Amino acid sequence: MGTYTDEELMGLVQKQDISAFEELLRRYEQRIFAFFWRLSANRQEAEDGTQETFLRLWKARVRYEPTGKFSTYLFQIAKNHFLHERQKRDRRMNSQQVSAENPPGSSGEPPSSDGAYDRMLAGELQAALNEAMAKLPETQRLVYVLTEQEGMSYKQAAEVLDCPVGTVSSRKIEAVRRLRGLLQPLRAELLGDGEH
Amino acid sequence: MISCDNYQATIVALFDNQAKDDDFRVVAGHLQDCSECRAFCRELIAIRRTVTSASLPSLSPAARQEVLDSIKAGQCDRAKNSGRWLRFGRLGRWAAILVLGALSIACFSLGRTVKDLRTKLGAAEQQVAAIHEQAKLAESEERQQKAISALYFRMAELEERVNRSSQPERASLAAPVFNRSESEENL
Repeated sequence: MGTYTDEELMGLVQKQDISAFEELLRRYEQRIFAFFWRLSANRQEAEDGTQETFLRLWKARVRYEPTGKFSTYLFQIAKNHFLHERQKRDRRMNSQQVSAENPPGSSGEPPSSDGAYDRMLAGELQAALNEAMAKLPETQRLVYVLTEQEGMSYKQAAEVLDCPVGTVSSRKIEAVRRLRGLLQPLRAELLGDGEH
Repeated sequence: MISCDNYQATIVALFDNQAKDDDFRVVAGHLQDCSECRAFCRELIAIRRTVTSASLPSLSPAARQEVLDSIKAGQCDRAKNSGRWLRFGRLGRWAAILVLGALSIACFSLGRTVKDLRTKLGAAEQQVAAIHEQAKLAESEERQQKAISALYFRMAELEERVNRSSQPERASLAAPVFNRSESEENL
């Protein structure tokens, strides 16, 4: 199975081959988990998102057409699930009349602010970055995670997000500016960390 | 005049390998003179370093196993369902065979009935044609009879006329004969 390409494995998955699906899961579980974790900084959410993404992949196997990269297809599923869950959560929060001060991304509770796990795991700067990330609008956060953390080109990110490349570029710049502004109080630490 | 905002946008694109080589030269020239954009670059590098150096947790084996288990369970459900459909399929096949058999029998008997009816119809048509022929013959015989009767009648008429026209002549011829016999008697 290791020698097959992702698209070939997906062809086998379409023929109900569970071992091919297992191989795809092995190849992508960490990337998809990291994608969700970076977006939510919450382990449970990341695990649920990863599980749901792969279950949706299995369910949608019949509709898959190897026209583009498999990873783009998989990240599209993950992104759709993320946005869907966020919409559900926002609706729930709106019905509970949450204060409008909280930006939609943070949903009133920055994932890393309860923080001991994250701080222990990734350090104070990482926690601050997660906190700042949680304050970005979802569209910018998605672009930032895909291009900066997943290392996708603007073109591939545009395919995943189903928007023009120019939009990805402008969202990325805006995300970087916002992050920079949010991390301003930690500028010295950040630069000190960066320079050593 | 290009603003620092534009330079910073190009710097972001350069960091993502999305800018052109010319952009690099232009930005490098600007960075020598602009401390604000240099700070922007340093912060960008620092953020990126923080992001990449962060240790990420990984998906727990239990969560991974859950995905596989639910897919396998789904497969079992699917197999069960397909088994159910197979059973229904077998029943359906038998039902279809029965229906087809009944239909073919019905068609066969209907075909026979139709065939019989056609034969009967043919015979009836032939009978009707024969009756028509007979009627025609009878009609023509009657016409002939009438023509013969007319001829007889005509002949009788002619004979009568002939007789009528020849009667005075006979009477004139008959008198001398009578007279001669009388004279012969007298002699």
